[in-house]
Amino acid sequence: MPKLQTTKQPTQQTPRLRPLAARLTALGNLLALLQPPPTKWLTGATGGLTGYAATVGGVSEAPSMRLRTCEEYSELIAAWRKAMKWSEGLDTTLSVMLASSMSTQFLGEQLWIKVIGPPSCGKTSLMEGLATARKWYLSKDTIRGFHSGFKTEDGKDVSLAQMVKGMTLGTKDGDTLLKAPNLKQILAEGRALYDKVSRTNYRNDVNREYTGHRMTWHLAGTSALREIDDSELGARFLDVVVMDKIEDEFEDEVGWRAAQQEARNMLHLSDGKPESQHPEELAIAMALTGGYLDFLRVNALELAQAVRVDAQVLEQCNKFGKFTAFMRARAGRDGENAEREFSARLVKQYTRLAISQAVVLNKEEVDEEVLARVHKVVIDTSRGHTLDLIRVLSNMPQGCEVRALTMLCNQTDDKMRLHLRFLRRIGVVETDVNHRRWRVVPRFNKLYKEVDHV
Amino acid sequence: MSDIPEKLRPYVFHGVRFRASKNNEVSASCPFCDREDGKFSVNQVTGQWRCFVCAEGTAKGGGNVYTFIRRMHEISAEHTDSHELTEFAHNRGLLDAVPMVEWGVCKSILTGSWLIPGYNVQKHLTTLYQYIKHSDGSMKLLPTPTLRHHMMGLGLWSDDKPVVYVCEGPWDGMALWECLCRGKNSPDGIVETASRASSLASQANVFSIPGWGTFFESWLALFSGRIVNIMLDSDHPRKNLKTGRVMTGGGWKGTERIVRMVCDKGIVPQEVNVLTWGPEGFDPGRKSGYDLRDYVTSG
Repeated sequence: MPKLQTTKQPTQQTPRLRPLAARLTALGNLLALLQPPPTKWLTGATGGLTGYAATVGGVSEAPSMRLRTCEEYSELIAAWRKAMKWSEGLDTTLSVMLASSMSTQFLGEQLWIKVIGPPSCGKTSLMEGLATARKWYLSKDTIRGFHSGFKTEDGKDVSLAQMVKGMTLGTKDGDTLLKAPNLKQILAEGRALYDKVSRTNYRNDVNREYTGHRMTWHLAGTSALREIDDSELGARFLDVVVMDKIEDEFEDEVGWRAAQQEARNMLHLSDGKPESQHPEELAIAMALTGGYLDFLRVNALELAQAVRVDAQVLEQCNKFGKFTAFMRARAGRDGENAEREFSARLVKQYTRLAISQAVVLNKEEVDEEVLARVHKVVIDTSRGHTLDLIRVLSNMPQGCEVRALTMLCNQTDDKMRLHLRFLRRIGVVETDVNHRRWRVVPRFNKLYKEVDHV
Repeated sequence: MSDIPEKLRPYVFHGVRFRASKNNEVSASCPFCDREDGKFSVNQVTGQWRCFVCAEGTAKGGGNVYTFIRRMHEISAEHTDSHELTEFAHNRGLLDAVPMVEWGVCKSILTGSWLIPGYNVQKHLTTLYQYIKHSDGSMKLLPTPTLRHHMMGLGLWSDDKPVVYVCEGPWDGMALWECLCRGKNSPDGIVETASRASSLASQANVFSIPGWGTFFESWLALFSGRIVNIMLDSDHPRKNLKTGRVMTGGGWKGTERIVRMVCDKGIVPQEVNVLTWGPEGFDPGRKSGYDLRDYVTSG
């Protein structure tokens, strides 16, 4: 039978214990310390902010999940780890989205983010988590335009532009947006709102003018979102990629967790309340995400002012911006006639992202970890044929012939020649004296090494 | 522990040492009949166990991990030495071993560490905590892996009692329970009584949560219609070393969280009270972490 059955006698002397009478007196004193909870706790989560959403911009009064107080990123991530298979990509994506939302009301360039990943990789869960903070985050599945000529009896402005003022707009299904028949109109309105001046007139005598509107936009979808190129609205967005490709082992692990989760789900019925729409761990993570966003928004100025930024960091952001400007340049329809964008906006966005990330990660300064996350955004935003090409050429100081490049980069010969000629025009590549081998211009190669190897 | 298959972790945690495996079955000597020939088998996919010799467990023999920990707890409780338990109770500041027995504290027959049962809202034993020495030398209370945290002290729960006390950690809960069992209200305050029926405990339930940060919404069902007294520790605010920001102390933060959950979930207790150690939720005159047990047992 049992192995550790003991009949050991007490070896130590009984310690001096407080007599019962004294304990009971102490208990009486202790019970006298019981008081009703502070009133502010009873007014809803995080200072009575929940419930606010019902009055924001005409959003319907759907029941919202209650926020949970959260002031530390590590606490938030611990909850997400319990809720789902967590990955570095999701971590960076969440921190970037939080940074973007947090910085909405600050002066300067805004952080509009494209969240790119394969279906079911967790984008929507993150977005739903942020959307629990309904005062700061408006999740909208379909967008028909930012402006509205609809006229209510009391003259209330029901346009999306008015709804998202000072908030973050989250669009879960960006791929569908690409199919919208009035996509160009939506993007044009978005571009105007990004630039903080947007006007429109309708024939029913409705004139709308929005100046100084600040908003951020999270657009989630698959890699098809890259189609929103720089000629439309793409240049306003930074990209963050949740995962490059679906790793087999990772998928197996996620699948196993998903199966277990679903087996547990079959033991519970949803009662229709927001919290019961998700497994308990996920509901907690979402509510904490909303709570953390709320904390960041309420204390944004104080938190951002506490972050130290070295000159080196600013210099690094400058390089990041310049690099992305080169990488994001695209040839025009004639193949060659296009200029790359000026890097100033990107530099501003990256600097803003670095500081906001430091705030989100509870850092006092923009350190290596923060820069690494910004670097990921830089690389994700810079992805494309140009980056693939530069990666190949940068390792070939002697240069490479076109035919070899077509094979290495998996492009057709014509397209590659066109691409190379365009890159030569903007000063990224050059040919050797015989005009046979292409190589990266040394100055740009130096920039590439400095950026890509952070 | 992380390299052990998930379904085997509870068994390994409680001292079962697996030797051989065949297909999905791993075998060990039986913790209940102590046969050394590996007749105790656990399926590492389903977590189901069975001893082919003693057929412990359910009527059919064996069972799942819950059956295992419940049986483990029963046998350990039967074989726990009363002197050792008394010594341990004194070590924890209790006057005698009665609260420990009532809360189900016992010594593991396999590991020799102290076990404390955790219960779910239905009052079923759903985890078994081990009170063990951590690598840094401190004593820690760890739940059975994969079975998550549950409430302690719920084995004594009575639906007829109108008051519920929520404590932080089992020792606080037992210290309070001991006092409630042995005290009664009188015009002179709380005085001693030998009668459980007239004691404060006759009107009160006490349960402990594992820590200030652990409280699940499903537990709120216990509060409905009752007078709820939340009695967590007096933790001082702490400074975040990275950001320099001052964070609310754990006990007060946990109290706030529970109160907010009560409000948010629409649970309607008769009354909610919180232990207010000081104006900011802590007592600056005492060390951080000062708790109910310290107050009652040492003043």
